[in-house]
Amino acid sequence: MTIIESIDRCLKTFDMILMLMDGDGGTENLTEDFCCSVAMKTTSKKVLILSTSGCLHPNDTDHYEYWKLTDEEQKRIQELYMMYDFSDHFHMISNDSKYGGLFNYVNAGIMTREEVFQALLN
Amino acid sequence: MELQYYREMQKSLEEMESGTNLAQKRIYLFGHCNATEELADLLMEKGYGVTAILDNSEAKHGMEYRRLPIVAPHTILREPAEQTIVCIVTRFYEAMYAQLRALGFTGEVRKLVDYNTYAEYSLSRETLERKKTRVEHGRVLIDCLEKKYPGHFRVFCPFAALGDVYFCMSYLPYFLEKRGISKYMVCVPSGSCVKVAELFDECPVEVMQQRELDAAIQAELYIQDENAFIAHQDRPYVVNLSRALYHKRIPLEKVYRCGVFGLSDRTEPNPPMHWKPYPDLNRIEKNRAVILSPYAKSVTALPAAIWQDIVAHFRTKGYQIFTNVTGAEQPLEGTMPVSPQICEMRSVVEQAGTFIGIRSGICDVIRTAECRKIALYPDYNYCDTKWKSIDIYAIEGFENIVVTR
Repeated sequence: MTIIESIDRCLKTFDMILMLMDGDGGTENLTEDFCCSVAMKTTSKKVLILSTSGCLHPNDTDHYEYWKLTDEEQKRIQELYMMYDFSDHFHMISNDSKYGGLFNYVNAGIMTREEVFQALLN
Repeated sequence: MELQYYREMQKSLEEMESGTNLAQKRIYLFGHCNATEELADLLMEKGYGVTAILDNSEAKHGMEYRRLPIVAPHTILREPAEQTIVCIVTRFYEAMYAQLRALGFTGEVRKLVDYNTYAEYSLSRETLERKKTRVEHGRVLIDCLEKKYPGHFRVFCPFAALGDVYFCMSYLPYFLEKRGISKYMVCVPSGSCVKVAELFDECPVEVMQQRELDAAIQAELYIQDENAFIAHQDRPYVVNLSRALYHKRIPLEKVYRCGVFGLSDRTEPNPPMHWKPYPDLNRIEKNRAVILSPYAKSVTALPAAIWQDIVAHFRTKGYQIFTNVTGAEQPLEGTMPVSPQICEMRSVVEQAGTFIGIRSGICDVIRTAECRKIALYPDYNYCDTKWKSIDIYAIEGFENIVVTR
């Protein structure tokens, strides 16, 4: 099964698919912090987390699954996401320099990281 | 609604009429907004009965537009599907279509305006090919921009809203300085947006048709171009700033200052500088006139009675009363038309002494004018958040008033 077929299948299964891109500018340790957050522990949504980073608490709850991606898989999915908006259930979370993002609010002291995680899961 | 979209809506409706016996259908509209109101008006002008407007915002349920009730989406399930049609003129067509199908509605759902060329909720081979072709077209457009403006950093304003362009230009210098950028150009989707951009700086500004601009922006995202920036608070789909509003009240200017540009909350906005005097200022009695601005493309209109009361009030005070009009807009009854260029607006309102407008981008354009300024807000929520529009759009220096009638 290709990665696109996998994503298509998951879109029917999960309420939300989040591809987390750990980086800088507020996204350091993003995957681990997100998976351990209160927001993830208390969400009623069925969430799939995709990331190349390790996550210390995969499948810790019934609410989310974690898939570790290879760099190539992440690149392929990112390409797809940047080609068009193929689902409102799929989001890529990063600190991209080409547009604004929620982590700018964290850097400006307007929101906490936990509040950003809650906003993402809304 | 922008004229190009109105024409698209008319054309789509005509096509629908030729293929479907609309008179035999129960017609629902989905998503209450200014565009949906215009569609309702058009359908009623053509003699069709619209049953109701579906909307996800519970705050709107029970309200009406021209006696059309605004109801929850699941209400559609009461209707026989084969005799019902849902028409959509908002940019959330894909999500609304998916929602209707998920509810179990099997009737016809039609998109009458393609507001959102970024979205297609499918991973089929045909969709992928179509979207690849669109990106390739976008890359050609970027190459043209690079040839026309060699070495210029590209700033994109993806949506034709004057206020968005105003905020972009106001905070852009700090952003560019932070990134060490000295040469830049701005891409906008309308002539009016050019006029707003020109208030601030003499940088090159390129107008692109909305679909072309969308394609260029998509290509910039796809090629991960570091020489470009998309300066908007919720477009395209990759921008997630609006999610914060489910959790926190963040006024629009702060969204731009901190969320879009990543600046400190203490950053002071740059004011527009390139104003010109309106040539017929002598027509306007100094401090004894009022400029009314009742029209806005993307905001639900206020009831006519509100403006009638305002006109009557200023008439009894002996004021000259002007309506700011552009294109085919008509002045309010009992008022005189005035049509200043955007760069002349400040001189007009300062001469008059009083400005009263529906909260729209024009209010942002004149926010530094020294006169009495009143912004009127229809009583609606900002998107599907719990905040009222005044919570997000209130302007410092204005009297901000919610119209509840």
